[in-house]
Amino acid sequence: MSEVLEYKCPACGGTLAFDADSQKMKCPYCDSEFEVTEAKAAQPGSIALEQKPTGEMSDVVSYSCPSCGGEIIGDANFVATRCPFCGNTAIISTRLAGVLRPDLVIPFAINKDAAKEALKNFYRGKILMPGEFASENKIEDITGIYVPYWLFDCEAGGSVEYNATRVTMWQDRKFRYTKTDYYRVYRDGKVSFERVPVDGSKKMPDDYMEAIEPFDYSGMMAFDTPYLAGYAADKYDVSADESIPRVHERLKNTLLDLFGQTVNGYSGVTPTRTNLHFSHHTVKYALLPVWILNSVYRGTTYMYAMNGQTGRFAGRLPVSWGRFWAWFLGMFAGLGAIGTLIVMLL
Amino acid sequence: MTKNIRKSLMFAIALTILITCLGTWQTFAAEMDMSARMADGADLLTDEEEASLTSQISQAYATYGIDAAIVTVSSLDGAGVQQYADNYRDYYLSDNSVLLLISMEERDWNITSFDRAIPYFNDSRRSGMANEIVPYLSNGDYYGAFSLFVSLVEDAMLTPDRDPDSEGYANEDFYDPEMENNEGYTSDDFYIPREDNTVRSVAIVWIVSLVVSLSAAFVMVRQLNQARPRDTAHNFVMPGGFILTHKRDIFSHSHTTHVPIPQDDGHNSGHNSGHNSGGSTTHHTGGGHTSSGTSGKF
Repeated sequence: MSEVLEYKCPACGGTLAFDADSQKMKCPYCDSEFEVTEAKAAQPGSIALEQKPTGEMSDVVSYSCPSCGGEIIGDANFVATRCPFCGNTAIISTRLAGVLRPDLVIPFAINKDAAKEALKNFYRGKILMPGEFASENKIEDITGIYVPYWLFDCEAGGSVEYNATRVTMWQDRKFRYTKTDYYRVYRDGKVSFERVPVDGSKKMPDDYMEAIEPFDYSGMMAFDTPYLAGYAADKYDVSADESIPRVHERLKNTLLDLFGQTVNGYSGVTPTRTNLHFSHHTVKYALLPVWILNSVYRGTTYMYAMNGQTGRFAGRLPVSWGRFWAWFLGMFAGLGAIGTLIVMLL
Repeated sequence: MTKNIRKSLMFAIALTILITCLGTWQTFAAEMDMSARMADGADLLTDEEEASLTSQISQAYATYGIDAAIVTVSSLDGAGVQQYADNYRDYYLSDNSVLLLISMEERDWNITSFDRAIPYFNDSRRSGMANEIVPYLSNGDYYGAFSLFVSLVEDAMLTPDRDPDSEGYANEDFYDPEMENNEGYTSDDFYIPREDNTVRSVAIVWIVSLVVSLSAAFVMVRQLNQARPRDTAHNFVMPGGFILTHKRDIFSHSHTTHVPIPQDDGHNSGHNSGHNSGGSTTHHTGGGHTSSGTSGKF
């Protein structure tokens, strides 16, 4: 049996949601605001959430909304969601317990209106985007979701060897001379990293989640469930161990960059041998805020993701190849004609 | 038309104009001081004759790019005629110029070519020009002599003599209008009648348009995908977290090669077009420019 948390407004009994603007719990009915701790103290306790049988679709779970009885459907990973009927948030507390409980959270700092406006700005000026894409796109469906992340405090170290050359040239009356000096270059060192993020959700494409980095960790809080009120959230389905290869790749590239910046004054530098090692000190499980909109256009899904704290966004839009060729041919013909006219007049 | 589309088109048009202008800036770059190109200090010509010659000189420049000048003086004031011509070039003319100078008191004439014009006006050509012009000077027909000078300058631009012995010029600098392949020649090395440039200029315009249009179109496509992974973690390096524990650069060995610089040995090694030349005797002006002149009395 799962248990769900709902935070009720002490003033009017409505369901509270976390407000990005005020960073407090806010009642959408009476506009009352409460500190997170206040709201948490006032909540009557968790409610047993009836899970309904879903037959053969074992990766889909179905619940009855404790507020209106409507059917809430989700996958096995969701920990918070909004009822599609009454809009109240249901937080599955059992999925946030024990080893599944996040250590940290960054609350949303950008509200839905700002996210929608940013999305509209993203569409603006995209000449090659099919016109019907933006008009069909349901911007209102943009959803605030807490994405599970693993944050690694770690260290990368090792040694790199390079072959380097320095070329000088000069000439006299009869000859041009080229002298090449060859060097063996050695660098050893280490780099300490803190909170390198890797998203722990298979649903969230890594390139999008990395593109909206970095989050401002100064806004990070110890996790508490009220922050999820009003938003969707998923628990991780990619473990910390499974995230390690991606972390190592980023650490390695960073270390090689930093070493490379210390090899100066050469005409050419080529790494010949690398010997790197990695160590992980701590791994934290965090929920970080992201605004997401998935749109399907001609059978392909296009995602828009925006950092729910900083506003940095990443997105992919379809290309209208008809418009592409029209623009290319138009520019080609126009520039060519104008240039030819100018040449003829000269 | 949306604002952004209008902006893009205006930018594309401005870029085309800029590129085309850059390709022909040499034509406009040098301000032609026509009073220095037709300087009748000895007052041998009427105003109408001066205006006519000024127009002929301008036309020669517009068509062939040659900077022709006619200077008359009452006296050289003790200077040699060649020295006077060289000084005149240093002060007033460009590096593709040919000058006809006459001095009435000394009865000296001088035809001198400078820098890049030397291949077109070598010793034999200048002598040939003088043979035709001097009789006019001797008869006092100064307008006839000067007009003939400009006409002979234009003829020379179409039929440059080969002059492999001219100082500073190698065979590759000479343009042979009868040769099919003038590989390596550019309009900086010689003067092509303007008509020959048009086809090439138009071709360049269309190639540039193709490149600019394709580049712009692909930039617009790239705008539609802004989801790029981060392959590094520079944002997460702790302050002072990068420690270099060992740094060593060891010299291994050195290797030196040398290639000979082609020497000008005076032989006609590349293009034997059948033009004979008498060579150009050159010297340097006080300003460091190369000069080749012929003088005489009239």
